[in-house]
Amino acid sequence: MSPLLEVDGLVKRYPLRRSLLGRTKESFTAVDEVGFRLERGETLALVGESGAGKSTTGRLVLRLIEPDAGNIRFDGTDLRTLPAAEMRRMRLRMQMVFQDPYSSLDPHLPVGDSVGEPLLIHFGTGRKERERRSAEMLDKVGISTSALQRYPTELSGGQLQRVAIARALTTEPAMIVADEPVAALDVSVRAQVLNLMRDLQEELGLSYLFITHDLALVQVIADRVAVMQQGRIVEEGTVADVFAGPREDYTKTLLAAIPDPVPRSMRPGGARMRIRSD
Amino acid sequence: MSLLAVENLSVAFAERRSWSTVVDDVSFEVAAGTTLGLVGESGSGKTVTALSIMGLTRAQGARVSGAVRFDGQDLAVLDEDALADIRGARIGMVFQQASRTLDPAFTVGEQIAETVRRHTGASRRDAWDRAVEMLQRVHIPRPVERALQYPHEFSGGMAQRVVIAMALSCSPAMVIADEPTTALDVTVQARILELLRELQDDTGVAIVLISHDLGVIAEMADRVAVMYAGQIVEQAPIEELFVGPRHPYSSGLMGAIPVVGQGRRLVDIPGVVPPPQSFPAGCRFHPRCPHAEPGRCDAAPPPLERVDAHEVRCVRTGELSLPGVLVPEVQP
Repeated sequence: MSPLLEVDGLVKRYPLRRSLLGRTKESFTAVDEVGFRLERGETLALVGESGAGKSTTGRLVLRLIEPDAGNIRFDGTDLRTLPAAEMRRMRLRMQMVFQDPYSSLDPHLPVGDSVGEPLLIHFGTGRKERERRSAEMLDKVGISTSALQRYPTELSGGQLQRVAIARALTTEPAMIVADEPVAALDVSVRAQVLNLMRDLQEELGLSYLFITHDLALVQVIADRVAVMQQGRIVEEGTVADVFAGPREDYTKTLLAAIPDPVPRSMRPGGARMRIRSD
Repeated sequence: MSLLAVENLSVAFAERRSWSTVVDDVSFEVAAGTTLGLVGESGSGKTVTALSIMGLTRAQGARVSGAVRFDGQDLAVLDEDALADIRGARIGMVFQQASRTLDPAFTVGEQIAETVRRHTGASRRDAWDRAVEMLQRVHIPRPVERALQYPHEFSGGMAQRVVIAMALSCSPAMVIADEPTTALDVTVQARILELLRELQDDTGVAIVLISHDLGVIAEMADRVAVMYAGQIVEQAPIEELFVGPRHPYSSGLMGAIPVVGQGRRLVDIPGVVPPPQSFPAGCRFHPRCPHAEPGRCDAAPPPLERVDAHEVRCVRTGELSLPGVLVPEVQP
C-alpha cells in the first residue's frame, strides 16, 4: 500500500521587498525543497528550532497556506490540483491540533458544541446526533460528559488540549498534524496528553505529523524523525537510528540540548546509577 | 547562616466572601551561592511564593503572614519604599517572558543603566558603562552597539540574556528566576542555563529557580522543594530526592519526564491540581495518588516531617518504596 502522505520538493517563499509594480524583488525561503513520507498508523516527528520551517510545513501539507512549488499526495490524491470544494472535504480526513488550545476553541461556545461543530459544518448533522457524537469523542479523550456544557475558560490547559483532540477526531481523520501540542503544558499533563495520543493511535490507526522543538518528546511519541534547519530537512531516519547515531552536527546539537535528568553532581564519575526504566 | 530563610509563609487572596489560601505555611532556606529549585505544576503556588518573598503580593491586596529573613532583615515587615530599594539591587528577578520585563520604548542599555542609577546612584556615564559591561558578561555579541538597540531587535534567547544582565547589574546576593527558559527553544534553554551557572560560579549569587521541569532543575539545583496545592510536600538535597523521593507526587513528576535512550511510555499523574477553594480534606494530593489509602490519607492533613535534611508530607512514606529518576546500580 502507498504511504498515507507523500510530500516532494515543497517550497514556500515569503516576499521581503517588492518593486513599484508589486513584483517580488527579494524573498525569504521558509520551506526549501522539503520531502517526506508518512505511513499509515505511523508518527513522523518534525523537529527543529523556531524559524526552521516546521509549522509552515505542517500548514502547507493541509494547504492552509499555498505552496509555491512541490507535490502533496494524500491517500493517493494529488492535493495541489484539488479544487477548493474537494479540498474542504479532504480536510475531514486530515486535521490539525495547535499549541495553544485557548486560542483554537471558541470562548463563547460550550466545549461540547465546539467538538460537534465540524459535523454541522461538513454534514449539517442535527443537534441530537452532534451531542451524541461530542459525548462519545470527549469520552475517548478522557473528559467526562458533564464538561459538555462548560466553556473553555472553565477548563485547564491539559483538559482543553484533550477537547481540541476530540474535536479533531470528530470527522474520523486518517492523519493529525499536531503543532507543538504539549509545549504549553506542565510536565505531568504533557505526559497525559502524549499517552492519550499514543492510545488513540493504537485504537484508531491514526497517523501523526508531530511538530516539536523538543527532541526529548520524539522518543516517546514518534517512529521516525526529520530534523529541519533553515527550511530544509537535514537529517531523517528512524528514531532509534537518529538518537543512537546522529550524522549531522545540527542534530547532535539538538540532542545535546536536552536537559539531563541526572543531577549534575551525580553525572559520570559519581555514584553508580542507572536511569529508571519502569 | 543562610542568606534567605522563609518561615511559615502563608498568602491568601480575597475571594467573593472569603479568603483563599494559595500558599500555606511554606518554609525553606537558601544558602549563599547555592540554588534552590522550587518545583510543581501550575497552581501549586510556586510563583506566588516567589512574588511574596519580594513583597509583591501585598501590593495586590493579598494577606501575607510569616517571616522572610533575607541577609539579616525581615522583608515581611518592611514598607514598600524599603522593599523597592532591595528589589533589583539585592534581589534580582528574571521572569518567563522577557518581553514583559523589558519596556519596548527604551533601548536595553537605557533600561539596565536606569536600574544601576536607581540603586547605586552612579553617574549616567558610569551606569551606561556598567550596562555595556553586563551585556558583555551575558555574552551578547557587540555589546556597545547592542546597548543602543530596542527590545524588539532581540530574539527570545537574547532578550532573556538582557533580562539576566539587568537582574545582575547591581551585584545582587540572590536572583529569583521564575521559569526563565520555559518559553525558549531547547537549544537556547541549554545556553541560558549554562550562562546562569557561569554567572553563579563567578559572582556567588544565590538562585531560587522556579520550574515545572525536573530536567531543568537537575541542571541547576543543589536543593529542591516540591510544592503541591500551596504546600511544600517534599524538600531535600537534589541527590537524595532524585534517587529516593519519599513523596508519591515527587516520584510521579520524575516518571513524567522523557529520558533520552528510552522510548518508554511516560508515567502520568492523572487529573489536575485542584483550585484553592476545593482543596480536598486530608492529604491534598490523595485524589491523584496511586498509593492513597481510604481512612488514612483522606482524614487528617499530614504534617511535614523532617529527617535530617529531608522533609516529607505523607503518612504512608515509611511503607512506600518510590522510584526516582535514578536507581542505585545493583552490584553483580
